[in-house]
Amino acid sequence: MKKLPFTIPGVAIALRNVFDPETGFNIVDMGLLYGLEIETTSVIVTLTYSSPACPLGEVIEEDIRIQLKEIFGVTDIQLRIIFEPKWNPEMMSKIARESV
Amino acid sequence: MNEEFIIRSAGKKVVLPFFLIAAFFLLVFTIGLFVCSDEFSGHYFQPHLLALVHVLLLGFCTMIIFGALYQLLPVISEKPLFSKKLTIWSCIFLCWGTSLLGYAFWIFDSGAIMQIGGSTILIAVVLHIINVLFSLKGSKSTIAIECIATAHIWLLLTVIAGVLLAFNFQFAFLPQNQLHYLALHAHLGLVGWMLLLIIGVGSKLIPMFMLSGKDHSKIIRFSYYIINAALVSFFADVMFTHSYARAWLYVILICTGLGAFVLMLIRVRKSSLRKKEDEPMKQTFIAILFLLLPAMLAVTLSSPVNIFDDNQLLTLARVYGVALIPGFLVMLILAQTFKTLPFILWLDLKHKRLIQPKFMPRDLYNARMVKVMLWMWNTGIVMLIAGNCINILWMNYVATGILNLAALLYLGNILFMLMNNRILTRK
Repeated sequence: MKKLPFTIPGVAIALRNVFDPETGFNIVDMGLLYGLEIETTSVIVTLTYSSPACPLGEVIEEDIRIQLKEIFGVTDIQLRIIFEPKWNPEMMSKIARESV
Repeated sequence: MNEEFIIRSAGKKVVLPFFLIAAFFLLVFTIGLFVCSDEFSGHYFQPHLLALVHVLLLGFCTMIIFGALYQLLPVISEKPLFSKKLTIWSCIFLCWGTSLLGYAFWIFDSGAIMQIGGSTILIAVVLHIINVLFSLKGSKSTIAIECIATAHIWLLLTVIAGVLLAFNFQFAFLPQNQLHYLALHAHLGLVGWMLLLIIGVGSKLIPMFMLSGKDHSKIIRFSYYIINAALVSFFADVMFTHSYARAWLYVILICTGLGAFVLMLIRVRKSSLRKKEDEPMKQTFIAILFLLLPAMLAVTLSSPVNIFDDNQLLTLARVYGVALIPGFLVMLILAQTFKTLPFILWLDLKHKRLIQPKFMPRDLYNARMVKVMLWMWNTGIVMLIAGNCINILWMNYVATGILNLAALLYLGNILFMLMNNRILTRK
């Protein structure tokens, strides 16, 4: 992958390598990513799942850590999982909604 | 990690044995069906058909439902599975119990083998229910959870009734004969256990698979209450008045409840973001559409206005059984296997970091082979129904032959997925 800048758009692009297995879309286009905060050497990722016991949660979390470490070398990653507002399919990006 | 997020999945080792054993039982069923293709013209209360129905409903349907529930329960209840050891024991007891009961019916030994088989199944069901109830305990009550919990009460009643019937063959302690309780035993299981469970799990999973965000709990709640009211009344009526005269009323109530579920599915499809379903989902909808046939036959068979002679009624009863059990139920389970099992295997590979980010669960199976298998099953069922209606023996043989091929392909598909999983694990 092309070297990405360690900025919010850069991290968002990196997170497009984390996929939802049912739809085959990445978590950004799925609308699961609620927010990103970047400090000098750390990232705070705010995201949601379809339910608190979503069996994918663990896998997505691990994929996020792998991507951010591989692309930016960041290991200080804080994941905030929130369930408000509740995710619904309308939160998917236009591209995802049109091609699903 | 946020405390609100809970990691819970039963895991591959817990669930796989159920799917594998179920696939073997399906093959046993289709082989048995082929062997006794010429026995369809008689009464449905005959040893070979009883053996095959029990092998299919317990060895295939219930086995897969148990396995899939162990994976789904944590998702639906948002709590971890209570015990993995209990899952293993329920699998062992269900497998042995079904084998013994199937064998006892086949050779029609109504003594110890049948009684031990029935009791072993009862142990499996009790262990399973303990696991389910403790897994659901304290979780937020939703209509899906209420359906699942109530379905298990009906399962327990069905199996207790089955065990009593098994002992009654030898000791004849029940006030009425076996046939009187047979329809009750069968429908508590088919409607109370299987249909209610399908409604509960389907109300949660189908909108998820179809990417539909609408809330359908009201319509499912209506379905839940009307089906349970019908079952309780049916049970009380048959047990206390010993009469099936009002069966038509309960059938209409159950059909209304099913209609509500179908209405929910129509709404899900309308609000779905998906423009095209994958083959397993397409087949799921075909199976549900297929349910119309047994629903219409149930109304006809229970109707107080009788326009058919005894032979025609027997044929309709057999067609009803074929359309409901290997038709609707098995069709649905065959299709849903390829929504659940690949995901379970994929999750395991993902945990072991053995696959690329873009490797999806559907990459684990051969979609074309699955499509061929599902259409073969549908074709076999339609031919079997036609063969039964017009009483053509060679058609029954061709139909059961096709069903055998479909069952072989199903087993092949499962082994193919496991092999793929093994190759990837070795890498």
